[in-house]
Amino acid sequence: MTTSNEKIPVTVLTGYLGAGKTTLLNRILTENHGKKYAVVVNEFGEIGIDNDLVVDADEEIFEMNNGCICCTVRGDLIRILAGLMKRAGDFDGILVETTGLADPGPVAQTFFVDEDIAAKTKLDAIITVVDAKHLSLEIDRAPEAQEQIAFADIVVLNKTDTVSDTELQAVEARIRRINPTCRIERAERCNVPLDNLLGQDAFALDRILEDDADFLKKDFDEHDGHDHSHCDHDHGHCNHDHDHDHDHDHGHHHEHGHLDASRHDEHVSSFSFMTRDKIDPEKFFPWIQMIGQEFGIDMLRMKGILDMKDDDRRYVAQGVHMMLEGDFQREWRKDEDRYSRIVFIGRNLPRDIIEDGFMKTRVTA
Amino acid sequence: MDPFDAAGAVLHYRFEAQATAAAFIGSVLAVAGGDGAVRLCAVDGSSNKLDLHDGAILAMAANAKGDALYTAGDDGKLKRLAADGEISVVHDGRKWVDCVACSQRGHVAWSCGKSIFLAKEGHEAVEITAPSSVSALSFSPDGKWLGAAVYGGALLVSPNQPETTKFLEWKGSHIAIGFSTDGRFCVTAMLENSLHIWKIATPEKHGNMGGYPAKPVSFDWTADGRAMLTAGADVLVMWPFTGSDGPIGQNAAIYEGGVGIVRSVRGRPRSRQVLIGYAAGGVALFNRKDDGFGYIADADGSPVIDVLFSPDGRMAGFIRENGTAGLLDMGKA
Repeated sequence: MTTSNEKIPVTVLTGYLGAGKTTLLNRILTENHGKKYAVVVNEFGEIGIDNDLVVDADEEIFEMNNGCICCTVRGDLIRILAGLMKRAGDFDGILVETTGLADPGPVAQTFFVDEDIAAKTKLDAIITVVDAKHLSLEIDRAPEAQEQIAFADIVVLNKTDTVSDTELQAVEARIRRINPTCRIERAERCNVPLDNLLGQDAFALDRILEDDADFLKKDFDEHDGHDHSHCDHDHGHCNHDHDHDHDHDHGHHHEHGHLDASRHDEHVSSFSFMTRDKIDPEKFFPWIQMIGQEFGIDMLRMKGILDMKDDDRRYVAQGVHMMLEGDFQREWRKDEDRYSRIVFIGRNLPRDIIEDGFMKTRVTA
Repeated sequence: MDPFDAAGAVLHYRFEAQATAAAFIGSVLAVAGGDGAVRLCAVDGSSNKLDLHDGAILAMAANAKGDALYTAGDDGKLKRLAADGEISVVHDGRKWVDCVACSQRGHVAWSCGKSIFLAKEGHEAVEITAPSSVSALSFSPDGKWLGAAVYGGALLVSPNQPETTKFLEWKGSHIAIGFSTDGRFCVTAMLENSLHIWKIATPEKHGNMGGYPAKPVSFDWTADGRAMLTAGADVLVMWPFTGSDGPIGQNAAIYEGGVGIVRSVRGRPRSRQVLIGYAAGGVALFNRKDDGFGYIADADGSPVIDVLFSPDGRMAGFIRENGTAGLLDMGKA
């Protein structure tokens, strides 16, 4: 057995029934990639492999008795992970499959709430497998489909061979509008290289928004001249629809002609703000705590890199519902553009209020 | 026994698998492993390895007679290992056997997810379905109740009439369970770093014991039953069980002098001594005569997941998660 104290990575696999989760699991279990994975499957799964590292789970959502109403965890997962850790050394990582309609929130929160789990395992990434042909329909019908995309670090856009290029672009645009920070991996029969899915360390603070720097910056630069305060678009190349806040409909939609411009009122949406002004930690921390308290139920994920005053290190923050964590990471490099950015993904979050609050945490505000 | 002498007299063992559970069978310390084996450690310093499960042993319990051990495996089996070495399969299913417990009156109970199985040793088991997966099982010392820690409280089952159940309710996830020595109180540990207690006869009388910096997953009573010892803090916490309502409405006594967070705790039978295992790996004997701590094993960085005594109180044992164990002959208790 290994004596290493390294935390075991846990990958969470969500997605609708029929999207291709089982195909992906079977690949991970059978392909010769030199690693061994323990797999926690749900009772409705149809994995055809008999393996002593495949564990059946009944999804049990437990509310914590701590007064936090969105603080739910997967009770069965705590038990199973603790059990698997007794065989540490028998495997290199753990995969957790959720049922088709599952909310990934409790799974993710389990790793924040339970200290014993957090001491031995780490959330590697949330992967959502979607069916390119049926996704739009599912998104329209079920809020769960949107939430699974909202939580994802990686969306495997499967069965791309069943749709046209135009349809594919439209589907990607919709995914992007819900979650601008995820990576989309196009696939047929889930044929994504496993190296692109496993060992991602997507929840490590030093990885937060690393892959997104380019598109965020592109947006930022486009607006930097005339609008010092924020990025007005979710994403550089998709359908610019800013009407997320249904209660405050300002009706300004920027729609690019070359994509399917039909408007959908997404149940889950995202927005991001940026500034070159320094952030005042004494204003920022109480504010972000307040946002967590006030809007935690609807805040699915938050990620930010902040340029705090009087500190040469990047402050990196992330959140899942009310669970917030953050820390100073490496120093800003001389050759990198030094500015603060923060992304919120949630259900009908009040963009105006959050933007106003964030801008007030600037030193100059 | 002077703790300084005790430290020198501890027999140390190191195994090549994680230790997951421990029990005494006579004066022999049985250590269950993440590799499915049980190591029997004797006072002469020898250890004998027996392979029992394909996978990890998740829990283990010794019967009251002291002539058999029950091992629960993630291979879906519950096995019985008799003192004479005979191994038999008691249960063989698809799901992990998560927990096992034995009563003073010859019952054995085990659980697989939501299913609880209860049997008189050597007899057919009855199945009881719990409202959620069972995190822990324990019998009350008087044998009146089998307790299961579940989501939302504690499920009590009468071993002689399994159709008679009682649900002690408290919101949240309960992860460990035990009973006071007189059997009047049921106590659970919770995910939220607290303990909950109910007076079984009048469950509307209940209380929460919070403020722990870590999960108080280990708790036990002193031999005289007058105090409950708990892990989960960087001090030894003792709740009084002297009044008619036990610790409900009372304050805990706190003893400083330990080294870091207490992970496991056990009262020595027929004695005023307490064995304490720390999260950092140290082991101490606390004596209530002088409230003094004496260290019998150094911290080695791995949590001491269980400390225990042989039923007569003569032998003391401990196991650490990293597969190290200790055995000590303390003399007559």
